[in-house]
Amino acid sequence: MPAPAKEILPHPSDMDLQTLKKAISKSAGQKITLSKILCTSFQKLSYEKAKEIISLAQLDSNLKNSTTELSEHDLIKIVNICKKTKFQNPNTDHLSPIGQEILTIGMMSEYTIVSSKNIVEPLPSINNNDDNIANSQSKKIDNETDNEDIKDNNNTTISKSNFSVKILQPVLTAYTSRIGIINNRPTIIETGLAYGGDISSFKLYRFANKIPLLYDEGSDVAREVVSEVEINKMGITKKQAKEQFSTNKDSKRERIIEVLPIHIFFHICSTKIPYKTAGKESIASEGELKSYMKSCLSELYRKLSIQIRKELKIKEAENKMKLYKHYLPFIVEAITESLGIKNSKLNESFSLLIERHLTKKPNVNDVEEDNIVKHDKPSESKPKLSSLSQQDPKTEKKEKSNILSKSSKINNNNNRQIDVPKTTTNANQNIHKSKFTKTFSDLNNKKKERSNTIHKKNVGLKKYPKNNNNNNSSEKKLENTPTKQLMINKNDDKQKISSTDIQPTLDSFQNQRRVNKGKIR
Amino acid sequence: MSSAEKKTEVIHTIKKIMKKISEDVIIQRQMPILNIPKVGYDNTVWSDEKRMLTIGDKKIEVSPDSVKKIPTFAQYLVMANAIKKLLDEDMESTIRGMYYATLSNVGDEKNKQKFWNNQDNSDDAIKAVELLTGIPREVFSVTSKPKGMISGPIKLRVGGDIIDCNLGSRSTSQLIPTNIGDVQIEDVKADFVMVVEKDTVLNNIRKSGFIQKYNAILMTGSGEPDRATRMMVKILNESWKRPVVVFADADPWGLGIALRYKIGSESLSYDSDRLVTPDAQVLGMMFSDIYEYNIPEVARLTANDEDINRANDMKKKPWMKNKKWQKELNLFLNKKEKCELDAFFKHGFKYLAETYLPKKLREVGII
Repeated sequence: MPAPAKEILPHPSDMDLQTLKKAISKSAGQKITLSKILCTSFQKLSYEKAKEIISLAQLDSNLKNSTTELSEHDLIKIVNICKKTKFQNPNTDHLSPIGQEILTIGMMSEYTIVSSKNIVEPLPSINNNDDNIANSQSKKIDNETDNEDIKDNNNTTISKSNFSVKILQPVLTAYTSRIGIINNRPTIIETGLAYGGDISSFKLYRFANKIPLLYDEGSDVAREVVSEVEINKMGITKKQAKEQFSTNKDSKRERIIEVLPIHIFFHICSTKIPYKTAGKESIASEGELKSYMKSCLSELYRKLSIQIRKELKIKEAENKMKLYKHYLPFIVEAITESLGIKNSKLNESFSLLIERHLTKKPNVNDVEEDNIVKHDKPSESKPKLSSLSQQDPKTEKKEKSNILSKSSKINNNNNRQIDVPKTTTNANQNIHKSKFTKTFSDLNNKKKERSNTIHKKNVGLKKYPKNNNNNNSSEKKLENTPTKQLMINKNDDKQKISSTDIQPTLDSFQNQRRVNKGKIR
Repeated sequence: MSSAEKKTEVIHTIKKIMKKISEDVIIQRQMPILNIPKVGYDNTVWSDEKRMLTIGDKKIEVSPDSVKKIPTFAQYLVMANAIKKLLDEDMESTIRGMYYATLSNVGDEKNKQKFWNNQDNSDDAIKAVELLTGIPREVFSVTSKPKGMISGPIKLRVGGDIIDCNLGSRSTSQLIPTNIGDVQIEDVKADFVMVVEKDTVLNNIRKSGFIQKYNAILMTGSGEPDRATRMMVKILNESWKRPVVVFADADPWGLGIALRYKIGSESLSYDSDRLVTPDAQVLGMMFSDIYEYNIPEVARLTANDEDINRANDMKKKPWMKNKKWQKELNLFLNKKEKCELDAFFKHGFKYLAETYLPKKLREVGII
């Protein structure tokens, strides 16, 4: 769980009449000068600067008991001056970014929602139901059955989770972030990149204040950024990329990046996300947001370039060996034929010579850079798969942080307990009942849920009983890890997104909202 | 040295090279290296003494120690072997024939590629074998397609037959055989040799009766002259003491072609001693002739950037230091106009052969 946000004073460049009035009314009755009020109720605003602003507004800086004496007109003047004045950049304590560690964990795990049928009634003949499931997920279902076995053995009461977690083993993950001011509000842009290993195709993940954005990817600024940042920042040309990664050489995909096995993550954290539509599905390119994102992505590409170049070099060495293999017969034949002798020794010695020559060359040195996590290739041939209940040593760390955050959360709000498993079973049944014909309205409701968070906070949360709270810390993890990724099958993604997806994110979203509200008002 | 002896020498040389490589590999256990003189712009030296372009001291080492050089190394050896086979069988081949003879696929099913990308690669390999052995490819019996033409009172002996180029010299020309090793000049009755750039111009001049009137040999290389044409010119000039005059178009390109006969070329600088005729005189078409002979404006062409660059380049060359040439090039750079020999046809079809050429030749005292 990322560090919680702290309350901060509003920034003067984002001042509006209401904020100002509120600040003044707070000190009503007290005998404080207006400049004092300004510098105590806004950040990055010194007493001197406040004085300057007031004198610019042609007001008496020593005015006391200001509310009565100041007209609305005067206040508007102050607000306007503040908007024009240059201040130090606001601090970002009130934002809670995901952070490298958690985002990296998120980048390495893939959550899949598996069809419910099997889970509601775990049968031994589970494979018969595979027809209902997208082929691509059959692997995960096998895994799911394993999970259930384990759960049954453990005699866990709430075992019917419909999540399958696949721990990915990317060759490389990289993280980078930027802090920028967009529309006068500080914004943290975090980007992550996972490359190679288990990752087989290109995918773009977008988050806004830890909420995954699932729809309308095409119009999102992240999509623009991905297609505008040149691939040669990775140290390879388009042609090389196509040659090395493209499985289908004839495919006429325009965006070359999509042939690379990369997952790209964007997280935009701000008190005001510049959504494109009221539906909050995609983010608009506002202000300098795009250039910040571009520079982030470029940096990631540059980090990746080391790995990619290394791979290219290895490939080149292989090619070299092949080249020798192919050309050697020609050379040997030419010599033996023109000399008119049969000498098998020549071939032998030549191969030996070449082998020695090739091995003599120095290997490429591994270079570790900041924010790059290189993952050793898995010792086991199969990728590790862990279920929610599985106690994997690798997830220990995660759990630890989750427990920590959980306890802090309990302190914050005792009522905020969420029973994930129950929701999931509900959702399962829903899916099961409607059999992939889940109506769109259902989805819309969920969206409403998101927007009406304040109401939902009480209504929605009380529904769930407390008792499951301490049951399973890894379930908690699910709820709290904001970087949870949803693997969505394109064909039926709408059905697949059950309330479980929304729930944990809803939680963090509320958290965020709560914090943000406190800061601004 | 008879041609048979020459051939055994070639075979011997190739065998020696192969033996050296196999010894390097088996006994010395080191990467074999082929030392080849570098051919090209940066290894071409102007020799004041010989008055021609000669090859410099730079060498390239071809050794199968890097990815780029393995194919080259293999190509050179395969080509050397093919040449040896050709000589063993006592056959002749064109350079294209050698390309096909050695053509094969390299690699497995997955990434198949051709041994040669195109004929240029195999031509380069043939050149490399020439450089390696120090023997011109005519001796290997590897020739190119003939394109040089000759017409006039000269008798050639090709193999056992005599070709009289004077026969029918009003209406046709003979191709200059490219297997120049088998060609001997039997008799030359002409007073001088005139080389023109293009065969169309040659045909025009021949038809006008120029050969009979001035007792001349007409030759052309049809653009860039091949080796046989250049060698023929050299032999006529140096062994038969006939003056050689060259006429080409009045543009930097044409001038370049004219200079091939006189000073040689960068790509064949290693063979200049056999190919270049330093005493040849480049008489036309001068840039000043455009204005002197009133070539109408409609027949003049505007010089493009490439022409200008070429002319600027040429101006700096040591063989163009002559005041006359500097003046001509400056004129071209000022006017930026070029002209072809064919433009004289604007003055009438006989103007070139009956007015322009005789006047030019009289200027230098050849007729």
